[in-house]
Amino acid sequence: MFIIGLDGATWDIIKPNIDKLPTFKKILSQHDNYTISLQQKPWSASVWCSMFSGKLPEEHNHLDFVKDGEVQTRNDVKVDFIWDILSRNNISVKALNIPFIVPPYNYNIYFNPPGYGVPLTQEELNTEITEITNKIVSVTGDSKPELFIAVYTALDKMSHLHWGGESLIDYYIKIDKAVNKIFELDEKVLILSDHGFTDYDKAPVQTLPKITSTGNELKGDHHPDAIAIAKNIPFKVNQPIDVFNGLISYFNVK
Amino acid sequence: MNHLDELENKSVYIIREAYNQFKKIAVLWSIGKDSTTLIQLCRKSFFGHIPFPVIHIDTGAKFEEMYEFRDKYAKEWKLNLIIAMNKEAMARGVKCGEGDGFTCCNELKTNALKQCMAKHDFKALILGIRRDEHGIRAKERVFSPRDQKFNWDYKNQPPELWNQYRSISDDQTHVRIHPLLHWTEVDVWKYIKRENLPINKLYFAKNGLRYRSLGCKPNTKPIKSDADTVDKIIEEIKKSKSSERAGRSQDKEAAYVMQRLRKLGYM
Repeated sequence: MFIIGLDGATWDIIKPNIDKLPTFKKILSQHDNYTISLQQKPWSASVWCSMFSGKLPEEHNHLDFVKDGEVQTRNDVKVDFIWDILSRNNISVKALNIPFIVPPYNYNIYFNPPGYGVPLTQEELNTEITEITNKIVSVTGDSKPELFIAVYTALDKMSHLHWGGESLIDYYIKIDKAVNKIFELDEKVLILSDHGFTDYDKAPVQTLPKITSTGNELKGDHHPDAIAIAKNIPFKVNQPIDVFNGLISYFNVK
Repeated sequence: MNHLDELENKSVYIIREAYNQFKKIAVLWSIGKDSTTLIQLCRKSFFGHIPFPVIHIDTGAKFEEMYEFRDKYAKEWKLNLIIAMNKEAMARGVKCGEGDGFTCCNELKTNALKQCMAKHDFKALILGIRRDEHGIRAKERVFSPRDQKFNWDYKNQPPELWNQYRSISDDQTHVRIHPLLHWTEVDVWKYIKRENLPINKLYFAKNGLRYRSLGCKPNTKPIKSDADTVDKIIEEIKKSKSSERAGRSQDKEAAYVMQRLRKLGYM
């Protein structure tokens, strides 16, 4: 099974621009797709953590990348993740670039993310797509695990910085091409985002200040509607923790 | 041969090989336990007298006890001590513990070292880093080339199979040599005990607190501990599940990440 995370991906860009996104157009016409309306706050660190630990924010208590001025690390998050549990049960698993912390977390795979996992320049933002895609494609044959999770994180930064702009559509076109390269690598594929996006002033929560320390104005912020596209996935994701619970029952582990 | 002898032999071999290949060489001494162990190994390698300079990068923000220790043993061990300070940045008002933690590290440590290397034209540096200290160090080589910008191209490093090192450098600016790479934190403390090495008193518990790792004063916090002897420290580390550098708030990687998060507005 293959889980592809697209941090911050929203139907509000994909559907109106579907003719520019041939891969999405094709897979949406062929496979289940739906909206995940988050009941928990749409904070990336917290949602990815819930998704792969099965714990609600009040249980995992990992709300953001930074706590008391300190960048949080894997050791600060006191939960077992799906990869820990599957490994204990001798089920092969790899997790690539999972952004519940920065730099994002890798399990059973080595990856050095552009921009220390916080890509900011256009070059870093573009490089992330290529490098993640190449890394995914390189995992073949015996090294291919039973569960492979990989997350593209730069879409989130791109959406904060360029919401409403043509450059964001161009970035979705790049994501579309990447999905085209990896969607057929497995029989069972689940694409999902951790939250959606909207205009900064219309967003129900502001996750970042509008004007950054370098004087840039953020154009977009998080929306609680996330996306899901499921190819032969035997469970439905209504809330982030359903990803963990679905995997636990699919692999029949405790 | 016991474990500590094996570690020592390998380190001594590396230090002698390094000195043989590079005459313009120096060793970095941060006054902490690892680099003090390294100094001891360098002394042993050359029968008591280190034939190259010892550099201390002084950010001006080290603990008093560290300066006292440095001055006392630099004299006792007859070290050719070079104190590297970025006085230009200090004059501009760059201070350790103020600002983002990245600027001060970069200016007061990296740039101070760059200036010192340029002044003395050093081609090689011996450092006391260990693989088990930090994830990023796991990829280090014993002989590790650095480019002109001081960058480490970890994707393009010479292999070091069966203890065969590529100790000759051609076009790189300098080579870093890591004779303690194969040591662990417990190894270092066991060696300190065996050699009866003097070690900074900040490492020993006082009023229920001790420093497990020493850095700049504003960024280093003590851990809870009652270990006031080397034996107790060894026992404590054996049982510990927290990281050695847990008390160090600004590891370089975290500082870079923080700097980037701040650009996005994180406080």
